[in-house]
Amino acid sequence: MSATLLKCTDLCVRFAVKDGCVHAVENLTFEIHRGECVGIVGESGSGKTQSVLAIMGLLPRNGTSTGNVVYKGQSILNASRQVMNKIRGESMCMIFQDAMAGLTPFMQIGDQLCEVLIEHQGLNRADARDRAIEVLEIVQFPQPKRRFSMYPHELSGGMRQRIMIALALLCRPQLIFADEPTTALDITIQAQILEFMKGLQKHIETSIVMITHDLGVAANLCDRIIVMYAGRMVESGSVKDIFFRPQHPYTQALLRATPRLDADPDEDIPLIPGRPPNLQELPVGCAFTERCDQAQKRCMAERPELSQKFDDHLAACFVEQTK
Amino acid sequence: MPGYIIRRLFFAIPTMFVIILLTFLLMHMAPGGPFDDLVDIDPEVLANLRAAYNLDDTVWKQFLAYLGGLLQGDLGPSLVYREQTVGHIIAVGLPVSVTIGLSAMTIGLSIGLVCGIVAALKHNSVLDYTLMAAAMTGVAVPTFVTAPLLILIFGLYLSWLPISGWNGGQIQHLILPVTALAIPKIAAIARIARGAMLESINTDYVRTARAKGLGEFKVIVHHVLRPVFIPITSYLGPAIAGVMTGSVIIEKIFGLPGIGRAFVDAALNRDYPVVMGIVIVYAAFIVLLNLIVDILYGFLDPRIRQT
Repeated sequence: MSATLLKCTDLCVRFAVKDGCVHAVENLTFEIHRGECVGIVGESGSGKTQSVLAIMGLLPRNGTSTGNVVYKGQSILNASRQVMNKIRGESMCMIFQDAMAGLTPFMQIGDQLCEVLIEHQGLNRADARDRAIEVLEIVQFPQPKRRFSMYPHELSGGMRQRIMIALALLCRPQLIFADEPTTALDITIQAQILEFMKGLQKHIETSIVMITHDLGVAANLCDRIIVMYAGRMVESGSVKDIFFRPQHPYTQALLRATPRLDADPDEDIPLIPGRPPNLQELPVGCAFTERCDQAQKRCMAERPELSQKFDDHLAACFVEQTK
Repeated sequence: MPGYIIRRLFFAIPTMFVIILLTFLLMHMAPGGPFDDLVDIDPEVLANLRAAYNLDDTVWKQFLAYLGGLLQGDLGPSLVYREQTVGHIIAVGLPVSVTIGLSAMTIGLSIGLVCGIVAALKHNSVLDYTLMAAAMTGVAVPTFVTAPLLILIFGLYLSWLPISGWNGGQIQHLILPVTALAIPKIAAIARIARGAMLESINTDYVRTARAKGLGEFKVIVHHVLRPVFIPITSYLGPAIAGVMTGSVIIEKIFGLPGIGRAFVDAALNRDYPVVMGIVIVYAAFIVLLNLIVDILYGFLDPRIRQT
């Protein structure tokens, strides 16, 4: 693959809470190359969003992050506001999950778009407006000129999500973190937006990190997939590897639990029993042991490290898979 | 918008009517009368006095007579200060109360806002705790404690400022009463502002604004501050009406000829028309300020804009 854009090493995110410390992300290490699309999948609370927020320097007050993140040769984890503000919104953008809560309710959408261009590209209002409308047309936002001075509550959910995407595209970023950009939308709009993002990535050569709990979305869009469980990466590999020879029992269970159109409608979707562990009291061994159908004695006592199963295919499991 | 304002003012008429009716009945139900202080008075003179002010009519007749006068803009005569009309008493007292009240509110708003915002920005710091402890004290200590303390310190020990009197509204005479009145307002506004600010700063849209790479100043001014003014406005509406119609304690302690003192004196003396007049002024302020507050909400948050 081509040059590395972002290299994240041993990223840990912790939250101080009343009765202790939540280990949201533990020793996360991965690379993003230029122009590729990487999916981070895992269930709610597996640390997908928090790891990205940590990289962007957007953790809430009670969160701390350690480790090392190098973006285009510059170390950016916990960098100063000044350093981050030059990167954020310009070359590294984030599309947030909830477009209703994510847009300032008392500011016209046009102003919310223009302020990014005024800040980063020093455009005047008129030029910023022209450029913003151009981008709104790219994301297929209907009638951008007429809606430019509307407020978020006057738009539909799909339109708001397009605004969020447009916000991320204004300065032609090199890296976009998309945090479940389509979960709040109905399935047809979701398909449209995913299709659009796929085209976009080819078009402007942006690297996209797609956070999702939907393996279908990941398969559709991504080149590589990182599977997270309880704050740790449990498997990573190319889309083909993940789907055709998953090495971690959690990934296998996730795949089995994905609804399929060609499945027998009378058959139940196999669920993953139990629930993820409490991130305040993680077990000593593998965090998935309790829910794992292939668990061995050893899994309780020690934690498997990530190991190379195939070329560029890592998994953290003691069990050797046959295929 | 003009239609909305006219509609609101129209609906204020029944409200005002009920307020006037209730006050009138309560005042007349209270035992005693306006001439009880005149102990050594000839019963015949007293009877004549009562007749002159129609006090022997039924309450309903008196009420209708009062309402009739009111519709013509006549608030009636004072029963205790018989050479003055109610209109005159209000015209003299109201400017004093409004001056003191609005000055205190302006100071309360500006200092309170700054303290609240700074405390929220430095959340859980020593500065935050200090400011909030001070605000707590400011809310808790009543004006009748702070006012004499201010008089003692700045009036008597240091002799910097006059201790009482109005003197035509000279600035030296304003400083102590305005300060005493402003302290609890500063404290209350600081606490409201801090709470609203903390809520606003933790929203998803502020995180989006940060993700845009905007400077902290722009984030605060454009994305955080606006909703802070909503609870502040809600507080200010009735609070301004309250201070403009006079603080009894402040006016008593500092010997100011305001409308608040006139109100309490009138209530104690059963000076019915004066009480009625001041209640009407207060109610009108409340109605008007609530309307202004509702209009301001629309400017602060487009989601509740009136059409």
